[in-house]
Amino acid sequence: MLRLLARRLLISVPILVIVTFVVFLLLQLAPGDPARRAAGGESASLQDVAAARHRLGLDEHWWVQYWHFFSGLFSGNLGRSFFSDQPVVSAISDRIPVSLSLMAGALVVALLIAVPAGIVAALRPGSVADRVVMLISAAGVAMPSFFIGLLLVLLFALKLEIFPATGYVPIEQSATQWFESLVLPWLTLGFAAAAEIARFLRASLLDVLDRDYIRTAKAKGIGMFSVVGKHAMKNAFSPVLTVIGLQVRFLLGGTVVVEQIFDLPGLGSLTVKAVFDRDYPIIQGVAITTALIVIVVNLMVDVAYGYLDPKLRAA
Amino acid sequence: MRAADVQRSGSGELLAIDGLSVDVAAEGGPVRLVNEVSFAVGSQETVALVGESGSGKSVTAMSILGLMPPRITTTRGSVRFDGRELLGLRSRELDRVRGNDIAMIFQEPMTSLNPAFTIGEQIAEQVRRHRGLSRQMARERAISVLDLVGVPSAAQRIKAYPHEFSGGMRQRVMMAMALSCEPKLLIADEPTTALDVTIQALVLAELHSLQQQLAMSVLFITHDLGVVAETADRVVVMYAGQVVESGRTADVFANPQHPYTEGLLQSVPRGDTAGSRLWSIPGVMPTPDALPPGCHFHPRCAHAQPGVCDQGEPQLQNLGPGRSSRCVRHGELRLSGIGAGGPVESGGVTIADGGAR
Amino acid sequence: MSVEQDVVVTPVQADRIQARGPAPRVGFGRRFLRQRGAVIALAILLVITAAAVLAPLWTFHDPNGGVLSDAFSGPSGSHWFGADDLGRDVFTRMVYGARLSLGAAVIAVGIALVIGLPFGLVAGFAGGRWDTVIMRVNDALMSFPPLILAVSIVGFLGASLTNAMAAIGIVYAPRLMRVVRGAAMSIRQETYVEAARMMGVPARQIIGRHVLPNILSPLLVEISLSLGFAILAEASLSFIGLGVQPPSASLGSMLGDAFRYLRRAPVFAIAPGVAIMIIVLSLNVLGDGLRDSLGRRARR
Repeated sequence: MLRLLARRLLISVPILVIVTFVVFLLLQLAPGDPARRAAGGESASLQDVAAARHRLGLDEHWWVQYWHFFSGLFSGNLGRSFFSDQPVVSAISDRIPVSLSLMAGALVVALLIAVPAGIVAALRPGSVADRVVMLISAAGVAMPSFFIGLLLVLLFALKLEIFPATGYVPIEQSATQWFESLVLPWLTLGFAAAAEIARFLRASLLDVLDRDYIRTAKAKGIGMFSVVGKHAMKNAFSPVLTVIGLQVRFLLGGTVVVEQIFDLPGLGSLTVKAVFDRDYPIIQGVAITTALIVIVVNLMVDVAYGYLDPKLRAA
Repeated sequence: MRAADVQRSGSGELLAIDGLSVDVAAEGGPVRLVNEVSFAVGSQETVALVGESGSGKSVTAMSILGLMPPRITTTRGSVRFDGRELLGLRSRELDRVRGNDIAMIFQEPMTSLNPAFTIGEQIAEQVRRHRGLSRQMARERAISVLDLVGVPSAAQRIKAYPHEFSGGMRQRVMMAMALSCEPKLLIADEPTTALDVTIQALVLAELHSLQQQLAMSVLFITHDLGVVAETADRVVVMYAGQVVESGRTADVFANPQHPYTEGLLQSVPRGDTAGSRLWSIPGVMPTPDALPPGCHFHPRCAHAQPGVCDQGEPQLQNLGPGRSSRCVRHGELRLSGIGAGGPVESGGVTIADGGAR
Repeated sequence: MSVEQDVVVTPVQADRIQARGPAPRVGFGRRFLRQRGAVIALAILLVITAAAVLAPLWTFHDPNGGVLSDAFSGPSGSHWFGADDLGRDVFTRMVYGARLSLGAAVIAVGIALVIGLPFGLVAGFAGGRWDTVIMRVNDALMSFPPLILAVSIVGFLGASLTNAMAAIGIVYAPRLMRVVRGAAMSIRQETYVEAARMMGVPARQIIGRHVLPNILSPLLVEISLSLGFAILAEASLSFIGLGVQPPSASLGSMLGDAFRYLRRAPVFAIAPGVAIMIIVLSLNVLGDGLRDSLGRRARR
């Protein structure tokens, strides 16, 4: 198991390096002159621009620049925002808790919806319940997440006025209000994920329920609850785990839109704001951070695989 | 007279199957896999259910415990265990019988155990459920029953996973699981077919001794006549979803009353025919959706008589206490069996010397 | 996947193998037509595409010009879905919006193909070190959450529809590349390819005549699904304002604009949203149908 983990960690290193290179490359795409932007834009004098260029190290060869960038990452320095001059790292760390709580909650909501739905559908394939589940999940995957968000806002916030349409309340201030401000965003972000997870779980369960060891389990008289909930689920869950790992990527991306709709101060809205401000260091910082989160999550998924499938542990 | 009376061996029935018919939904309409099957298993008796693959023997066995997939299966008839009707019981009530009064072991030890749980856990959960034992006591029971079936170092092995065991060992684990709640009836669906011949002999011996120890009845499903000769008091022969012959093993082997049984017996390789050609019944068993008219066996039968065997629906006839045959011509035919004559072999190993029972 | 076998091929046989070319896909059309859902989906898509492409021929309103006095008017004879805040006909805007969305998606997937196909072929067919390097880069690209990478690319390039399409294409290329690579790898092991290689047929010819036609099946499935994702991605980008720029509108940007008037006129949002859903759903169903009817080769 440790060997498995070590091997995966080892592979992640070159991936991370390439990630940083890609992010570095992104900067080169930008039209115009980042030095000028840093110096204050059109109004900056040539001297200011030159000074900015030197300060940002933009007058060096690209591989030197990359080296600065890369080594800077190690010391936790992602640069400073063009806009606010706040260190990128602190801007990100301010907003990460919001995004993470959004994603985590969305994932929980997704599982709460998807697991029962998937089980019900798999236990009675072809039935009305099954078709309903499949239809809703097909629609869920086809809908842009913000559409669901809009519908939810329409129904719950505007018509029924149960939940706030926008705004975020930090948990330290008021736990109930924090919860309320996140319910609709959680549902919005989680719904698409739930749809995907439900489909996969159903397919995986249908396959597992056909297996010989399920027949044995039934023959032991331990009851349908144990047969499905214990024996079937433990084996059916691994493919679902992969899907969940994949969903984290999409959930992270989804924060961009959801945070915009509900006006939540997270990484997503930070990125959008940075794009409109042309605040490149922030964009780079967010890109690297999110990629890092994805890589870490994938590692955790591999670890979880080891738990679910004892054969892997010996590897 | 009930059909099951035909089969009674006289020592009181533990399991009485009467007119069991099982239909399965298929694209062209329901297909009948098991057709009015009746037989009984007495207490402390071993009955062998014999037939080729596709004869309906496994379906019969699984229907006893309601293990056929519910949505596509229709089951009719009666299955009485200890006087109680099992067909039509709700799942929850059937669960009290499964693994408890009636246990079942299956053919494929490699895939019949859940790879994600330790074998200790898989045994313990059954005992916890049916006997209400605590975790600790269930664990001890698991160890003791693994000892019983001959798994070495049981106390360490309960923490092991199925993939860490060989096929023969896994089958023993399955047996341990099945016996953990001391069932009155064990249904064994070809438990040794997937195993090495040498392991086969060991497992059978183990099964035999356990049966004696626990005073259990066994319904043994197999296509291997050598195994039947070794283990069974009585034998029920199935063909194309129907019972074609039944009786005490020695009787049926020495004096078969149905050409199919004769054919099965003749195709078993024998020690005294070394060097000569292996013979098998010509043709193939018909599939349930393409059954020939009249006697289902007649196209392959050496004794078939046109006009007699290809018409009507031959019924199972009572030939005496616990003896029956479906052959319409059984009275006229002199069929050859395996008597006190040659030894019976299976897979190159002499398993029984004929008629010792 | 086929098992590698020892193949002894006489020159005459090898000639015949090469002449026969790729494995025939008999009966695909018939199998596909049996998938009712996919056929319906295809029909819907064709109708919508035709309607969108031929938009100028059959719509009567100007999608970008509105009569202010009509603003917020509900569904009526001249305005089937009503008019928006600037008096523009919602239905016409939707048709033109669909046109933009579909076109953008096609171009984005096209870009993804241009990038992903060659790399996938090289990685799958050449294998070895090429494969490792390409796959590492691929893994790295796939570590970015798609929308964040797309937003970042647009962020650096500037907000416009073309940049959005390029961004989506780049973000989607790795996934396409994976599919192409997988298919190429399994085909590379096929006996007829082995035979051709042993006979010294140049790699380019093998790829062109044997590998490419057989990759078509899984590729078609993936393209159909990718188009769906591309539409969603473009909608997301335009929703935030990073894609289509006013006055042009795509279905996504319409949704973005509609947010403000959600309480007053929910139809502004519901109509384009449902439209997107229908298009993407049809693409997904089509993709699933293609996958089922193309059989073993289409399974990843």
